[in-house]
Formats: sequence, C-alpha cells, structure tokens
Amino acid sequence: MLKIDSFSKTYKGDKKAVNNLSLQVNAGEIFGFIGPNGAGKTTTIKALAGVLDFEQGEIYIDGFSIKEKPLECKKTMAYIPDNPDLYEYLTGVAYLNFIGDIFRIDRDEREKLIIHFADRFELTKDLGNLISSYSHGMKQKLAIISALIHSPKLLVLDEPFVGLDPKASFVFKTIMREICDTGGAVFFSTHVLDVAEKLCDRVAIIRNGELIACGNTAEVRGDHSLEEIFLELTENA
Amino acid sequence: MRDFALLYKLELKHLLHSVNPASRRSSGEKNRKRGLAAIMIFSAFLILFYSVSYCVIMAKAFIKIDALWLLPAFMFSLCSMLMLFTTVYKVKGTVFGFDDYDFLMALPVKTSVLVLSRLAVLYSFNFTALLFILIPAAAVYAYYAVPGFYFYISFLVALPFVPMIPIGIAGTLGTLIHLAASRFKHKRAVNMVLTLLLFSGLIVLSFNTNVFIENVTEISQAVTGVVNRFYPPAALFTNGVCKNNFSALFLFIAVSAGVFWFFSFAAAKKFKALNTFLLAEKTDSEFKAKEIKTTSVRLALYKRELQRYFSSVPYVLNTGMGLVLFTLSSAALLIMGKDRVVGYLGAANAVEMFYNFGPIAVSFFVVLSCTTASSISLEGKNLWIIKSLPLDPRDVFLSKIALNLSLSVPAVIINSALTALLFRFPPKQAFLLFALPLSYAFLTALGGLVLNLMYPNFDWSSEVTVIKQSASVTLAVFIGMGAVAVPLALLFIPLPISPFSINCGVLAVVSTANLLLYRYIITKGPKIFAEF
Repeated sequence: MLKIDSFSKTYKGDKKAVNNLSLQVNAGEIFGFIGPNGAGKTTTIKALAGVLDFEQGEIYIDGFSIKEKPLECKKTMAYIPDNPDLYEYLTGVAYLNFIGDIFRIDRDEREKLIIHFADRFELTKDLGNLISSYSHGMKQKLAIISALIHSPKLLVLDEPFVGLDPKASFVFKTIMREICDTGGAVFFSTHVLDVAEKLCDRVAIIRNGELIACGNTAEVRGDHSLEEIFLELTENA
Repeated sequence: MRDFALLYKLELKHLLHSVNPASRRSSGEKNRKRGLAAIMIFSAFLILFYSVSYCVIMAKAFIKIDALWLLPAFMFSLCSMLMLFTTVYKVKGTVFGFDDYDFLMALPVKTSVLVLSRLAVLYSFNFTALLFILIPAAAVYAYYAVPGFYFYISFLVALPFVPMIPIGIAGTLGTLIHLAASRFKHKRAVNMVLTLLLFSGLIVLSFNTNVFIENVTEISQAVTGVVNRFYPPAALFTNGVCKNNFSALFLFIAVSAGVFWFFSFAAAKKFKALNTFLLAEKTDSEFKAKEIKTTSVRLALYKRELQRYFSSVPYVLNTGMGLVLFTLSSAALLIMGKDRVVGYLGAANAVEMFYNFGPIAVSFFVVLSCTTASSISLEGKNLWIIKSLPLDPRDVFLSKIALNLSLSVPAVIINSALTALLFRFPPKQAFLLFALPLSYAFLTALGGLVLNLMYPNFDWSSEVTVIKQSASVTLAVFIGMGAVAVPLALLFIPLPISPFSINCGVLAVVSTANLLLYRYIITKGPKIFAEF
C-alpha cells in the first residue's frame, strides 16, 4: 500500500531532515511511526501526502509514484496534519461538501457517510456552525470525518490523537482497525507509545532523520515495553 | 517602556516580514529579494514623482486664485482622509481580534502597554505613508511661497501629530462597526455593508463639494470652505503652519493628541471585553441534511474562492473599492449628463477627448481591483488542504482568476454599456470602451496571480498584512497603475498617430501580455506551487 524507497529531504542550509529512509506498509496494517521531536516524522509524512516537494528517493502509494502521479496517489489516501487548520469561514457541513465535491462523492453516499461518521464522533449537531466557532478537538474530529467520507485505502496521520477526547480516541482507533480489516492501511506518527504498542501491527523508530528500528511491534519491543526500547534506541543511536 | 519596545518590535518585524517573507523556494532567492528591493525603491520614487507632480499642478491652480496656502490644507485633508479610509478596516486584526491575541494576553505585560504597542505600529505605517504626501506638498509650497523660518519649524512640529486624529476617528468607527455587526448572525456581511456605506457616504460628500464650488463667486473662499468642511482640522493645521498662528498650531497639536489619547485610553480600558466579544462566534445554527449538496470540482473551487472572498471585510474593501468608485463615477456621469460633462472639460474638442481617453481612464478603476495578488498567500495555514487533495493546481489557479474576473467583468460591461449609450460613443470607440477595460481586467487577474506565485507569504497572523501590505499586492497595484499611466501619457503627447490607433496598439500589447501570463501560469505555475 505504501512504499518509501531511499527517501531523503534536505532543507535550506543543507540541513538533512530525513536521510535515506526506506520502509513499506502493507494492506491490512496499522503502522506506527515513532521518533523524538525533530526526528523527521512530519517531513516524511508531508512528503508522502504530496504536500512537500522532495528530490531524492521515491514514494509509492498503491503502486503510484507521488512524484509522477500525485493525483492518483491522493485519490486513494487521506492526510490529516498534526494541527488541522481548516477553512474557518465555512460551516462544518460546507467543508465536508467541499471535500465531497473534490472526491466526486454522490449526494446519497455523501449524506450517508457524513451522518454516519458525524454521529460516531458526536459532531452532527455542530455541522451547521462555522468552523471558527469549533474547539481544537472539534476541528480534529471534522478533519477526521473529512478524511473518512471518501473511503481512502490509506490513512496518513500526523499525531492524530492530540486534542481528541477519550471517547473520540476510542472511536477513531476502532475505525482505523475497520479500515485495515477491509484491506486498507493506516500510517501514523505518535508520541504516545502506549497507543502505538497496543494499536500498531508494525512500528518504525526514526532518529535524526534515519531509521533505527522497524518491524512487528512485538519483535521490536521484545520482552520490554515499547517505551523502554524507544528510550534505549534514541539515546544510544 | 521595555515591554512596549519589545512588543512594538515584534509586531513591526511581523508586518515587515509580510512585505518580504523568506521564500520557501531555494533557487534564485537572492535575485528574487534583490529584484523585489529594486522594484520597491522604484515604486517609492514613483510615488514621490506622482506626489510632486500633483502638488505642482495644484499649486499652479491655487496661485491663479491667489490662495497658494490652500495647497498644504488640501494635501493635509487628502492625506488625513486616506489614512481614515485605510485604517477603518485595519482596526480588527491590528488593535482588536488579531490571531496572536491569546499568546500576547498570556504574557506578564500590562494591557495598556499591549494596546499602545499595537497603536504605535498603526501610527508608524500611517506616518510613513503621510511623508510621501505631505513632504512633497510642503516642499512645493515652500518653493512657490518662499515662507519664513516659522513655516519650517511649525511644519516639522505639527507633522508627527497628523496621523493621530485619523487613527482615533478610524479606530472608533471601525470598532463601532465591528460591535454593531457582531449582533447579527451574518456579522461579516453586515460589517461589509456598514463599512461600504461609510466609505460611499464620504465619497458622495466629496462629490457634493464640487456643487458647492460651482454656486459661489469667490472661488478662493469657496475652496477654503470646502476643505475645512470636508476635514475641519485642516483649518487649524493651515492657520498654524502657513499663517504664523501659534494658537492654531497649539490647538491642532492638543486636539490631535487628545483624540489619540482618548482612543488609546478607551481601547485599553475595554480591550479584553471587546476582544472577547469580537472573537466570539454564534453557535446556534442547526444542521439539516438538505445542506449536503453536490457540485463539480471546478465549481466547488470557485465557490470556495467566493466564500473566502466575502468572509473577509478587508479583502472586499481593498479590492472592491476600485469597482465601487467606477460605478459611482459612472453614476455621477449619468446624473450630470453629456452636456454638463463636456462643459466641465471646457476644451473645444471635449467630446473627442472623452471618446479617446474614456477606454483607458475607466481601466484605471479595473487595475485597482486585483484579488489574485493575495489569493495564494491567503491560503496561509490552510495550504495543506489543497496540496493534499487530488487537485490539479491549474484548477486552483483558474478558480482564483475566475473570482477576480467575476467582479471586474460585470462592472466593466454594465458601466461601459451605460456610458456608451448615454454619450453615444461611435462604434469603433464603443468597441474600445469594452475591449480595453476587459483586457486590463484579465491583465490584473493574471498578473496578480503570477506576482503572488513569485512572492507568496503563508506565515501571517493577520490577513490584513497580506491583503494590504504584502509585496505581491504592492507590486500589482504599481505595475497596474503604470500599465494604465503609460498609454494615458501617450495620448497626451502630440504624436503623428491617431488616438484610436494608440488605443488599438495598447489593446494588442495588453492582450499579448495576457496570453504570455496565462501560458506562464499554466506551464510554470504548478511547478512553483509544488515547491511551496
């Protein structure tokens, strides 16, 4: 579903944010991308979401290159950044309509999916209000609903649980698993290692732009907790 | 004082950054900045040139009626009204309702210091702008009137106080408009209507001044009356600076400082309450499934642009005033009628002049209405949305161009049709009355977009900074005005070519420029956009 091949990104001033990163996420997997602040997680996520331009390496989404076929890639995935700034001048439903129009979702399907997900995240009654009146958590919920209504095969998420209340977090984790059960995949970054340990089928740990561990969650942590392994690897690497 | 200096510098850096932001593109960054600096310096000289030329023309006119001292009075009034116009919609975003309000209010700094630092930034910008108007006015006045030493001293003493009354009045009016609009569900629409009514009222008032002049015999007294009635502090300024009246000078300084102090005091006193009130949003709209609608991708993008446009009062006012002025001018012409307009022009070939200059003259209003020059920057923190969606950037560009054209094209067609019919334009000139402004409308939309692709800024905390002060907007206005000024100058110079041929030549040049700009947007635009 997702293949990152020798991806590197250098910013101005020759600062190498990510260096020669390669990994693969298979259909049916929830993949956790872990690393300390400034490790290169967001840079990688933005590049594979088609938001950030890059020169070295390749990223394939469902077999398509994000460089060569960006529209094909973006049609099959959904991306939510760590701080979803949405169009504050639109109402919640107007924003979902806009996303629905871009993905060409027909009227009946759109209504069914919007109401289904809005009910699950308890946002239905607020959809008529302007996004500028929403709290951070409500914006996060709306961003998640907008990502789900076009039934993406791959979900790409940067710190998706920040701002969500416990119930919404639980609902979202359930939905992530549902997507994987139907042949999709989820790639997300997190600092919450407990969540990664319980939720992810596979994890990768990145430090200073380089991959230092990758594999099944159980294999990576061995007899220790993921937190212990993370601290050990990120301090010793 | 230290806190004030820190906050002032922080906001000033923020605003200057919006004029010339660090580009995210690595290639040719130095050349880009050098080019921008060169154009900005050229623009500054151009404004000074315009200002001095205008003052010389005015001075010669005032000398004829033996009232040269009216020059500083007139320029002072003009400058104050311009500051008032441009400050009304800057109040929200600089003094109230700015994006980093939470961060700044959480700092251990007195509210009054915070308010003063914001007002000081507003003052600094207005003061810089007035230097370009009042210094040339004073210099031209001094050249022709040869005043004594008192003039220079009193002028320099009075100068720093000039922006204070406009800021105080505009601040009060802007706040009252925002407060009144906040009571309505569609507060942005109400805000826009109230501000437009205020501006239109001021414009109509200035139109009325002409009627006043026409009905009196003593022109010098009439102009004095008009200027003073239009902006009463002008009398104090002129008497204080030009007529050696120290009491008037003292009164002007006292009134200016008083108005500014009163507004600062009131703003500081009610700062938290006003911000809480203005930042609050109504949250009682009930969601209905019928609100779920479908449309095509291009229409969805266009609708998004429309909603973005009408959600921002500064955006509408800054880019719509040209078209409002266009319509008001056309209405004024219609009301006055052909014979009266020709009578005003005075020249023997007045009708010919009207036919020849008309197409270029109305284009001036069109180039002032450029929405595209800030449209990419306005994506701001929302840029990730269109970048992560399966969208062809060309469709995004077209939606931005379409918005600009849907404002300017109907205005051109309606106003040109009325003018052509009323003044019975001959077919050839009537064609140009439509074709030239329309070609300028395309030039404005396409050129603005190219400039914003070259000079984007996504890191802003107040949209006013990109709408009014960004490099792309400044360049769009100056290049647009230059694109109209050059052919206008050609029409004035006696050349062995007919004015009709000159207008046709301009049409050909502008149309070619449009094709080149469109090609640039379609071929190079997506690559530039990918690098943001």
